[in-house]
Amino acid sequence: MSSTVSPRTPPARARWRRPSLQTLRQFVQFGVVGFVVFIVGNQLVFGEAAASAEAFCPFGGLETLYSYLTGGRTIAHTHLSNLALFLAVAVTTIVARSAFCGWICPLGTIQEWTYAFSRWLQRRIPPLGRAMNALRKSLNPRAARGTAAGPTLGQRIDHGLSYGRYLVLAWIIGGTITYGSMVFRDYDPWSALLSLAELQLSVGTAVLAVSLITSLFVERAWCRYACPLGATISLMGRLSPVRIERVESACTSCGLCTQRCPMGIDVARADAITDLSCITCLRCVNECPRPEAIDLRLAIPGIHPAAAPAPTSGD
Amino acid sequence: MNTQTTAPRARGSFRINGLAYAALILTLFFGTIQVAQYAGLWSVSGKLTPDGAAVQLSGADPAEIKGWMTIESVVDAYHVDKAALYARFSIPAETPSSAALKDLEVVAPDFSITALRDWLIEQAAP
Ligand code: SF4
Ligand code: SF4
Repeated sequence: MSSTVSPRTPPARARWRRPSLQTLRQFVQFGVVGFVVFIVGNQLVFGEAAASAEAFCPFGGLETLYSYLTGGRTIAHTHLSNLALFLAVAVTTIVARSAFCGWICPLGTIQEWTYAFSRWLQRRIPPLGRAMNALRKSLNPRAARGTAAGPTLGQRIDHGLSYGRYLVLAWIIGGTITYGSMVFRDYDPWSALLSLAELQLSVGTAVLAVSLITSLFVERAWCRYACPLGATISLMGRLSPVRIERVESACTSCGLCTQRCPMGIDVARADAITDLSCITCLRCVNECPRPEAIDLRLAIPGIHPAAAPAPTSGD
Repeated sequence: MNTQTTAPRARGSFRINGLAYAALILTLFFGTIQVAQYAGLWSVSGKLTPDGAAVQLSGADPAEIKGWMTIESVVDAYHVDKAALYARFSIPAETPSSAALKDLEVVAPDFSITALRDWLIEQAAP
């Protein structure tokens, strides 16, 4: 890890904040994954008679939105439920930023679990742990920044790949409008996840497998580099009044927030986290040993904390 | 480290309690789904209408034809000759009319849902 990180014993208030909210978040994630297991099980037991598993994919709603708005029809393999789910994602995002990614999306959760499994393995297999430490150091946005060396190779690759999800989104929107069909369907890992009961190997299953394998090395690899729904959410999330803010004068620059961010954001150097990759998981808030230094705040979108008028009283 | 230090708050913004935020997310996401369900914007199968009734072919618009529908349902709804349909798409005679349209491409390479829709439009033309 970065040499600027100095682990310390968190004070009582931070210890209290840490388990409560992250446990609640994990509880919600667990519930949603449980629902997916229920859908897959239902398909296994009832087969054709059960609801279509793809009907629960919010991204199908975005893919069919154009067809529904222009012709009143959903495109093949999508249903009204896809539209309703996408609407729910959009409403949640516009009000509460990218909380869908950090709290609800089952694919994001499974990647988190995969990475947690990898950390568990790293603790038991020292050579693996050392190799992964070197990789984390290379990807850590604080490493080598501000020095003559500039960004590391890992940071450059990470940064370049982070545009991938916008390219995927552009391809899907263009293809769906042009051909009126789900061009992404065959490659879609959510669909593959929801349709696991069909036990069919498809390109989507391979994309899902590659995403999970990559998540052993880079946390939430699919979310970071390829997810078109994450790209949509991050763009819509710009309208949200919710964001994380750091108070420079209270921050000790220990770097724990940056170190724990699953999306590789350099939280410890930002005043307000407006990075499009933020999934509002609140790990940075919960990890901070100084409760005053970083918080989730309600603010006017687009206004930088330093540019906002000073309050006349405390909040 | 003095944890009691009160740092200046970020200006122009208000702290959100974590638990309130969690409640907000869940209410927004699941509440929107509930509202959509009440408004009729919910169906999880192309075979059922939002009210839960089985989808029936109207016989008026071939665009309504889906892969899960059967040869029989199309013949009945659009009043076309079954033998002519089999001949047009080189469907083997032993294929039962209860076969789903989506399964026909395997036995009849000429067949596709789009081609069937176009053919039905031609048949309906005066
Ligand atoms: S980025 Fe995509 S896969 Fe990741 S949590 Fe968000 S929607 Fe899910
Ligand atoms: S900046 Fe904080 S809330 Fe955003 S993804 Fe990173 S750890 Fe999660």
